[in-house]
Amino acid sequence: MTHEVFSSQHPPLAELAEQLAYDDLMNCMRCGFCLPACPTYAVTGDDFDSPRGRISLAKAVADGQLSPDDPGFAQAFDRCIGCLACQEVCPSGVQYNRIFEQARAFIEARRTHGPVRRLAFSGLFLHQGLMRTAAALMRFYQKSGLQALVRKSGVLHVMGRLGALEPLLPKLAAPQRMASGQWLLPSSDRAAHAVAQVQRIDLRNRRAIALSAPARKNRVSSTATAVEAAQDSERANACLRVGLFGGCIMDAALSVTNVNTARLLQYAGVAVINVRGQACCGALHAHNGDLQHARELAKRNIAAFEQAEVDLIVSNAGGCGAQFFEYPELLQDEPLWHARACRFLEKVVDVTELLDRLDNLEGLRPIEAVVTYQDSCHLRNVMGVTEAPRKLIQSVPGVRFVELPEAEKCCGSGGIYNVTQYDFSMQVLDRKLAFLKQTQADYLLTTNPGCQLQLAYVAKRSGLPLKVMHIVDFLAQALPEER
Amino acid sequence: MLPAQIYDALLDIVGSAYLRIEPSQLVPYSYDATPLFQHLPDAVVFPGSTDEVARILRLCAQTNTKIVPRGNGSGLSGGAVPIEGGIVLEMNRLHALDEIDTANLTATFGPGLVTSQLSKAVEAQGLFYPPDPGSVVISSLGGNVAECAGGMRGLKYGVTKDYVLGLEAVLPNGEVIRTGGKNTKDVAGYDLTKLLIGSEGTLAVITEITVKLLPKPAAKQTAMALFDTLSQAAAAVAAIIAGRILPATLEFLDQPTLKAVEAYTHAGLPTDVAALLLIEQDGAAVVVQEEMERIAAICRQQGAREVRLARDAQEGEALMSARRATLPALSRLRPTTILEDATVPRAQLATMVERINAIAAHHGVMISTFGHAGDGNLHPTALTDARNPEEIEAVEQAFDDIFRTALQLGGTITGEHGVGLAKAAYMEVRFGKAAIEVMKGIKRAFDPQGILNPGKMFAAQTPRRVVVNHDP
Repeated sequence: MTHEVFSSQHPPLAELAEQLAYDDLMNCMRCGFCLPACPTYAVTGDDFDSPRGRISLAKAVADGQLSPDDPGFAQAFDRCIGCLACQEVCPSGVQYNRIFEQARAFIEARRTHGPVRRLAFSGLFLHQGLMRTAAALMRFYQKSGLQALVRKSGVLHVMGRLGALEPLLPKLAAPQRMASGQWLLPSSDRAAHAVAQVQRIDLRNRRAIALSAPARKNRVSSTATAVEAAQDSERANACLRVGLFGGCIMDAALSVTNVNTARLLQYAGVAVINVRGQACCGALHAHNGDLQHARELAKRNIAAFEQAEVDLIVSNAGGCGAQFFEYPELLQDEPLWHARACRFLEKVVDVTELLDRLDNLEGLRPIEAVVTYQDSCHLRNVMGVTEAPRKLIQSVPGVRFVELPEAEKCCGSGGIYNVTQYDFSMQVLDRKLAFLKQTQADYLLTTNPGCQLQLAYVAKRSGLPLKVMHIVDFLAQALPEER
Repeated sequence: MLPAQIYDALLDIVGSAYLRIEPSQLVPYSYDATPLFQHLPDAVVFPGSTDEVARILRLCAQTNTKIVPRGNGSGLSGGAVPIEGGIVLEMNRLHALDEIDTANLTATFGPGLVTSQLSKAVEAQGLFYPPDPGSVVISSLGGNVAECAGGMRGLKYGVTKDYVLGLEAVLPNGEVIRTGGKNTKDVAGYDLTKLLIGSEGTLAVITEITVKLLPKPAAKQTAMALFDTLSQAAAAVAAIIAGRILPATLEFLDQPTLKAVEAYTHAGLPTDVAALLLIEQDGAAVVVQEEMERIAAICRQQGAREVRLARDAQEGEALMSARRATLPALSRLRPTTILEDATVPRAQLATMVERINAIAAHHGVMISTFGHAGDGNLHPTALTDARNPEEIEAVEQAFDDIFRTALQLGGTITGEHGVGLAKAAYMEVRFGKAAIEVMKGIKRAFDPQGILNPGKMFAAQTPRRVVVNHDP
């Protein structure tokens, strides 16, 4: 049976195929190796909720077998968390990320009804208390330009969910912040060690150029105006220069993590700068179908980090770091921007990866505790970082590390997935909870703010005596007193 | 579309949570892992018990509704494709591992259990379930039994049929039968257990499986040997077996496969050799050591350019990774990958591979060959593009030649994937009319209405692969 529901308003098939990444769809062999990796398939056992099933739906739309406005098509992709674990295990190298983003963009573009209505009836403005508890997240939404997107995606009617997340958000008063555009400098002996380490090691091919770290005596800082800043910059030239990507949710809700990231890096011997003019990475935009804003944000970040003349760009959120990997493709239609995006990407490194490679954290104070770790899907599946966080945790004296069963499987946070698909997200989380209980850990560490909030929520909801933290905040506890 | 009362009756049996009828819910059940076959079902049901399976089949018999049992859709012969529509009976909710009986050395479980999960569970108790089809991470054991799945350990340990002791199954009329049991010896009556194994879901729906287990071998060692000619590699295989050694694994990669693997892994494999053999032996540590050294010596005697003997498990893993990378490496070359399993007596291995290469060249298509050298079970793999009908036609013709060549050499059309839709056209060539009539008689005895997995095994005519089927 076919379901010919096409009318003149539907684009022709060739156009659909183009919009839905048809070449990528064709590469799927339908072997099903992605099924055991998929967190949503684990919940329902229905191929509709598997990567293979989602690909078959996109292909059915592109082939004209299913209407592009079939609500099931949108539902299938809305339910995908975007963890990309499937991409890691795919034997034929299907670029699921591209399929996912293009399908989401396609679906969003066709959702013409309702945003204003949803906003008006959302009840958000009727609940002052909710507004206050959601303030930190709201600030992040506004700052990131996500607000329009969120309204469009109909998230506001589930705004009530944010109440549940309230206890997890840090106090809004007097957040610790790292000043923008100023260098945080390491001690000279540690700096020398760091430079030596970096020259000795080969992080990855894509970063080989950045890591050759040539002397920069002749470089003139174009941004520093104050004499002091110029002097700092001069001193920083002797070190490995690292630009910190703050991220919007980190900056709004978890800014202490950024401060701790900088302190750890400084301790490990590199000069850190909170780069001026940076913006949200654009991951949430891209994953929710707003590619235009994702491109704008990418350009702002590329320009900002070029300006800062850093050797490396350090991310402390797996989701943001992974989004940087998308920049070259996102900007592929603009040759100059594409080239700049490639150079930007060559410098990207996760904080755990860099700290591990620097191997310069001796002198940490002991923490007597049982600690476990939940992978950030994007850190693991896109950036390929799995061992560094585990090694860092075990480098703290006194720590007993326990591996969390299925640590590689998504917690169901997925950016704003836990808000847009609350019920489904909670089912994914229930499975995680059972494994967490087994570990009997005191600390659960993560490398992404979304995961941190989601896991803190499950710990609180279930009454588990578990401290959920970003790995950087945990390590910072072990830093010796300031000298 | 089915009559409304059938949807209504299904709703009564499984409830709304386990019934799918929307087009978008049906699309993911319109295919399995076999390229180029696709057809939408009219409904998908997820039964939660043998009783529900029986009620669904009774309903189908009463209303003459077609029904196709499905595991996890990882099959490679189109066995789970609902080619004539009807109901897809998705069995994956029945995945309980009911028992590991350490006194009788058996395990009993539902058909939805994933193969690798059974392996892990029994290995945790020092036991071993040898069949390991390439899709172990996702294949269901019900599917393994229905297709008689093989894998890399066939030479020494056999295949699925050598392990299944007993089954519970539901007949198309809704009656529940039990065959076999935990007995090692049991000659009462016709062996319905063996009959159902490999019946591809055309005779009955399997609802419970009992398999025998072995003690887990204490040690394992791996070696790799490189040969300049195919005949040297084949001679080495023959000499190993003639030397009274049965390796647990004896895998083969031809030169095109090797080139693809090296391009993908950069593991430093030489690409100017004609063949690579991967050999694994397991058993008592002393025996393994001694036999592996003999195997290495035999390979050298047969002219191997190089033999690498892994010193530890880690090195063994590194060697085996070349074999594991074959499918990823090959499937990346072109959009469509057609993995076949023509099989010959192992003495014909070199001849078959040479003929495959000649056939591929003749039709101008890309075919790489790897497989289970110890079993003569080859995987000629075509790398093509489903969007190009002329190329697909050439691939079809090449496979036609390959299957006919395998039969000429005393081989068979499928070693471990099953007949399903992909090989149905070759059944008569393989068996002749009389044997086919006996098989059709068996089919009628189980399923007189022909409602269970229709269109499989026996071809109405001799069709080629079809690119996506839709009813008008």
